[in-house]
Amino acid sequence: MNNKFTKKIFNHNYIFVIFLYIWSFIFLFTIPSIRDVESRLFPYIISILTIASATFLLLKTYYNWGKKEDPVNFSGTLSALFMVVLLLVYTVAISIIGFYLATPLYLVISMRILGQKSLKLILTISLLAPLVVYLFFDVLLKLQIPKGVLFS
Amino acid sequence: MDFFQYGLEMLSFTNILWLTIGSIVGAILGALPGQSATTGIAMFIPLTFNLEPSTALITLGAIYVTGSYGGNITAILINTPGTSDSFFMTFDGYPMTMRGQGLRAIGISTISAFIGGMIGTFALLTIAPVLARVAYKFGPLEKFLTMTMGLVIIIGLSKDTMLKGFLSACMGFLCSMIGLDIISGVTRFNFGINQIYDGLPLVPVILGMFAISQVLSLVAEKSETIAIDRAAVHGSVFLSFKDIMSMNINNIRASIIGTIVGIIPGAGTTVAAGISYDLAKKSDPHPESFGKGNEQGLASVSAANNAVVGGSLIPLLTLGIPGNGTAAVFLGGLYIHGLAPGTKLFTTDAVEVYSLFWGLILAQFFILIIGLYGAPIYENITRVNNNILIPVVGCVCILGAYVFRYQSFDALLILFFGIVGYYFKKADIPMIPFILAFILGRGTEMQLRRTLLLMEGRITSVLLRPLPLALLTIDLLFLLSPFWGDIKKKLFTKNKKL
Repeated sequence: MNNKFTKKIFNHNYIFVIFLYIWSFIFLFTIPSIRDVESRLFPYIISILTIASATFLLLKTYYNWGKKEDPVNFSGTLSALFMVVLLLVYTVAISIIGFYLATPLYLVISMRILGQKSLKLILTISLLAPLVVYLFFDVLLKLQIPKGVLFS
Repeated sequence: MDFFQYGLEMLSFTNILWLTIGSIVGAILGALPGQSATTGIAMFIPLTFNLEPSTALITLGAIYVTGSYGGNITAILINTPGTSDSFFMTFDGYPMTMRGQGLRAIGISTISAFIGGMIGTFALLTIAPVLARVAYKFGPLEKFLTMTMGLVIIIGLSKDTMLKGFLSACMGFLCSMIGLDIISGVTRFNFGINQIYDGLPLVPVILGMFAISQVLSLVAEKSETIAIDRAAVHGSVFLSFKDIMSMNINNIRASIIGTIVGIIPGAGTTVAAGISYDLAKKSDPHPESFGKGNEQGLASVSAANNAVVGGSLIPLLTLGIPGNGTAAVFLGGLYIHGLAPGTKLFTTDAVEVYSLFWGLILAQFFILIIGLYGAPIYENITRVNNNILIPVVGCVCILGAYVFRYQSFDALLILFFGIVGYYFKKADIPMIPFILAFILGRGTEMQLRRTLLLMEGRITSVLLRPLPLALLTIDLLFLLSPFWGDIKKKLFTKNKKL
């Protein structure tokens, strides 16, 4: 019984519905603060449509209407979230020490964590990547590469 | 200025250089399982931001063409289609590889893709300007109905996920409303964040949803690279004139089918390849050899696949209706460079659009070069391990987001949308309706509000005009099309009972 209950609560559709409810209700409650009345029409239509359709999905999932969906396999999500953290740290590092210093560090760490064993390959790619970016972005495309607050 | 003069103007060093870069990148990304032309275009939109619009379109067009072709290579050599579009390629391509004819299979696929691509581009060249003239007659209501049509088609691609597709589109619309309202000039839903005062930037959203989500999926899957068996890459990739001529009927027929299917939004490569394969099988004296390494089958699928690219650009450039996900992201590329589909694209922005056409033609020749001379490199490309690919793609995405507006905030945005995209993938929520609604959201709202202003309560009389009525009917037909099978079944059963 308990297992069944837990299974139902964690159906991925419920997560989607909760996400949609939060998103559309935030929009719905913000609409009256828009100064121009005509600018409110489209947001009202879409927010209400979203809430109505999300409710339909909620009922469809709860009562198992229509074709039964395959269970979603969320395995590996922790590793994916770890990658997000790594990219987040990389982004912060770029703004502090600049792209050219942060990139080799990020590449070495991420390749090691992801299981690349060849140190020679890791070092080659980590040093080549900033060089390619310099030639491609800086020289060819004349794009401004972040130097970081320490070096600007 | 005629088409050939545009062609001469297009042949500058910069354009050719970017065409080459785009073609190579497209072919590599297409060949890598897990990557695609869509990811390639998403990654290259910010990089082409500083380029002339015509050069940028040539680059993105080249990625589209060679990206579609690149998937054939892995499908033939390792039975793993780089993109879902190359699924049919495994039917006869891989059995040929198993027989030790991997390179010959690549040769057939390359020649057929070239013929298909050329016919598709020729159709684009001749049909698109005519169709654009029809778009000239479109008022706000017609534009609103056309934009809605694009969404209806994309949402209706799969009946099973239609509700989720619709909700995905709603989310896209909600995101498109963030920022400055272009009609009234007031700012909405920016929640005090200055970086999104005028709206959520397109590039970080696209990059996050397509590229970062793919990076996260690859990390979660922990998949190792499947390397090619060296023994399979033997023989000659070059075909004799007699071989090429023997496949002509299938190639031309499949190219025409691919182009027509490409024009029909939502039909997609799989449908084109399926119809062409079926026709080739039925007209072959040895249908039993199909699926066991039949060269005609491989040729027809390859030609149809590449003809779809040119065909899909016809409704995209003239009416703004993208027929598939790659075309939807390509539409984002057009908007980023200040170009909007329709009549203006073929008059005021003719240099850009005809440069794109020339770029597409030349990209077909790149398919020949890459396919016929790059075969030995393929095995090395497919050997690139994910633990190298993932960090490098992540690095390019973060940099791409940053150089778009030079704001660190955008790098955070791509991570947020990367997580959203990852969840969408895992939970089987279609991502394309979100992106399309996000790209078209502002335009759709603007046309709806203009229509309401112009109609002044005369809803029925305006809707009953021939053009809006026709568009509305097409919208409804597309909306009902996924249920056509069920409707037919019910009617048939009822009649039987009677």
